[in-house]
Amino acid sequence: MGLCLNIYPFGLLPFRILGDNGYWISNSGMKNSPYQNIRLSLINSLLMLVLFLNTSCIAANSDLVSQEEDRINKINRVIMCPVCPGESIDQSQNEIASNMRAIVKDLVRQGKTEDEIKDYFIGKYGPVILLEPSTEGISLYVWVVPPIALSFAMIIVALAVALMRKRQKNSSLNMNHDLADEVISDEEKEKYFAVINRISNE
Amino acid sequence: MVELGQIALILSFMMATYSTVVGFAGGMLNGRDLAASARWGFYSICPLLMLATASLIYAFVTNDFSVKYVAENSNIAMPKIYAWVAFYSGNAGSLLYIAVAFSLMAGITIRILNSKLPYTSPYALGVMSMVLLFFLAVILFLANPLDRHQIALEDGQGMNPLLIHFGMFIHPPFQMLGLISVALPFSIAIGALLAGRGGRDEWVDQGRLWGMVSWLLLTTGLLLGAWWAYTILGWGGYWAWDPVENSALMPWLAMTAFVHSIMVQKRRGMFRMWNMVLIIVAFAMAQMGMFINRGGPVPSVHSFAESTMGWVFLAVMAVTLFISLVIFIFRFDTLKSRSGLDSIISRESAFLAQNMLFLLIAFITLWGTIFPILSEAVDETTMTIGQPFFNKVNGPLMLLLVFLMGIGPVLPWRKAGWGSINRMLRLPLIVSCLVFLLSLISGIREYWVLISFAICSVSLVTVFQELIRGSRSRHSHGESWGRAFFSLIGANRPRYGGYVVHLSIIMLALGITASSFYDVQKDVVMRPGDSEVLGKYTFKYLEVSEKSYPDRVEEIAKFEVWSGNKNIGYMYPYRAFYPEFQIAATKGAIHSTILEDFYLVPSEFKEDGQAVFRVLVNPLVSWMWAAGPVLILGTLIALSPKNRTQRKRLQLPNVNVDQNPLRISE
Repeated sequence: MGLCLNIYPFGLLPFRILGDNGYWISNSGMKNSPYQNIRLSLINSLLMLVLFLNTSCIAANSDLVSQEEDRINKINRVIMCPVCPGESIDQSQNEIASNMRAIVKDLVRQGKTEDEIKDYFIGKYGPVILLEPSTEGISLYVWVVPPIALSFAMIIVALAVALMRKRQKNSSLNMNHDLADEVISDEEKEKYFAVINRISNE
Repeated sequence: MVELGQIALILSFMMATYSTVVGFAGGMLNGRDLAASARWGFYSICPLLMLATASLIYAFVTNDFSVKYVAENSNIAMPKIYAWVAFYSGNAGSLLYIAVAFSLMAGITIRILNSKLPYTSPYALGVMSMVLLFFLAVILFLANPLDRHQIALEDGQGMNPLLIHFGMFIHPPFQMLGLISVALPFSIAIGALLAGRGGRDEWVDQGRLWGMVSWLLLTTGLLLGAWWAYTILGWGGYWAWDPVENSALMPWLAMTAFVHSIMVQKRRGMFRMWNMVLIIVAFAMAQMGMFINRGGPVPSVHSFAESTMGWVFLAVMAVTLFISLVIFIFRFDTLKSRSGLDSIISRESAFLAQNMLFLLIAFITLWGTIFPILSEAVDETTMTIGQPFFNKVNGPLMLLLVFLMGIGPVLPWRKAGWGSINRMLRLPLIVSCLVFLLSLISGIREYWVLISFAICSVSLVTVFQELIRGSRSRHSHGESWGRAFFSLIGANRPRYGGYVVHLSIIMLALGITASSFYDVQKDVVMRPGDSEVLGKYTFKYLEVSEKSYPDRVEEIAKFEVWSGNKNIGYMYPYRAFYPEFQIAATKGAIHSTILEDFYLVPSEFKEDGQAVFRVLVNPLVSWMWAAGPVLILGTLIALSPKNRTQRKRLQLPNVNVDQNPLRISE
């Protein structure tokens, strides 16, 4: 991958910006150390990788399909196939799903909006037909509970952290107390190290 | 032959009862002989269940349609090799599969546990036997795959054709094994609690080992399932937030939290209570998964093993939770942490935040999965909660997790000073800003994609930074680069194995992001001879041919495909129709490159020679599949024990008693 560096205009960029260890480059004489080169080529490869990804995504995105088709696909993905539970009509291979896809296509060509098309299917099958719950009535709770759960989780974490901090403060006080009683005298230490030295010499 | 299997089943049921009772008795009375007896009783279950399995498979192979389960799940036309798939394709057979697989795994676990945790092991054995006992009871009394019909049938109904795929040989076994293997760390934890040694961290090593084994199985099962959906279900996607997918994801989330937070207990003696909660939640989630899968009330594509016994699993889940809670409260005093939290900015608190996020995602997934039941019960409103909801709510939370995955491992234990944070995170943050800007410059406007790329690069750079930092310091002590790298990984396998797993998660995240925001899909109507273009791909529909098999008719389309000017050969997507089931299964043809997949799938062949095809270009999907082996490799590194020579190096030199320096010094 290092060889590609020269081709890529951005590949040279980080040479100037980043030095070893993530510090800004300095003339500390470390410039020529081998690991620095490794680090730099790593960052280069990484950036190139990202650029590759970007170009691939964009290549894929640049109006390969008409906007109309995009809209049709988008609608197909939120309407459920009535006979194959859990699958969208976009996903399902069932005949009914392919008929429904044709209906969506027709309606979009007639200039109907997404909401109108959804309403059309709701009128025919009821609200079950939508894969995404609406934000009205009881289905509002589907949407409300996750943020509540999130805040709840954050409160729990905060409480737990506070509790554990408090305990640590208390226990470290106690610990100091305990340790004070068990301080080893210098004489004992010397004896101990002498033994260790002897073992390691043997 | 089937009768032999029946006898084996009954015997194994009796043995499981025996080892449950005697196992607990051995633990409580501290009786070594009792415990040993229970253990050997348990070992005998596995061969018995294997015998039962063999007799069922024999019935499949010999087309013994007098056996009800065989008649329901196979027919004469089925290729014999699929006897293995048919074995677990229905409700009763999959229960037997779970029982036999669990008895084998639990046997191995017990064997290892016995020498490592002598006090915990009898209790853990008791819990495992109880789990097995439950499955055997369900098999014997509610869904016995070996039961015979009153009359022998000429031919069976056959297996669901969607299951006839190579992936079916491995995805369901791994998935079921993963779900049931959550019971292993659960049993060890509960065993340790019962033995009153939960607080002493004795069980942590074994809990972590089996937790990771279970995690690996669950992950492999999920990835294989995604791969199966992508290649066979023919809609070009791999994950649909289907209730059953969710129910496999939930225990995975809880287990992921567990295998991380158990490290905190191992290293710091903290989170003792929390780990117990996590493993209990994980097991409850696994049972919930079985409930939803086995004729739970939520409609799903996966209703292969449908039956009315889902409620049995739900009831047992409630009982398990209740008993675990009682034990938990009873042993509450043993679960106090050894130390508290030194600083809010530390690896411990990163772990805590990560754990909470995992549980939150699991909870939201559960909420979205069961909400339709609740709404129907409360309001009589039926509704569907599908992909859009989960993507919107869980997507951002998962990105947050990937971010934590980047910064967590480089935060030091106990207390992180600003100096070390600066040193560790400066480079990753700078690179991620650069990536963000470059992505913006190169035209990406979806803000979730921008954020995801930036976050992934933080995690990616921290991992590489750690690897380079470590090998560099070894290199500076005179080891060659290659040697330095491998000895670095070998020296702290849990840590560096974890990094490798993190790499695979980044690959997954990139693949998921790119393919969910930048996939292109087009439906085209073609006649033989027509050419169409999608992006840089030109594809020409040459002809359609029909092939008849005993069980199906395949209509195979032949395409010639060019990528740019380069001919990339022929592609053969096909549609198979199974007249007995009135089901059609499509098989997409995929041309996979490192950057994108070109995916062709027939939707419909019309009478007049016209055909409808769906064409997709899915960016970076191959990265997701490549992540699987990397992930397995990383987990194996993290699990591999230190080798002997290394262990020896850590020991003090052997000294004779006579020369014992301590004695001399006296």
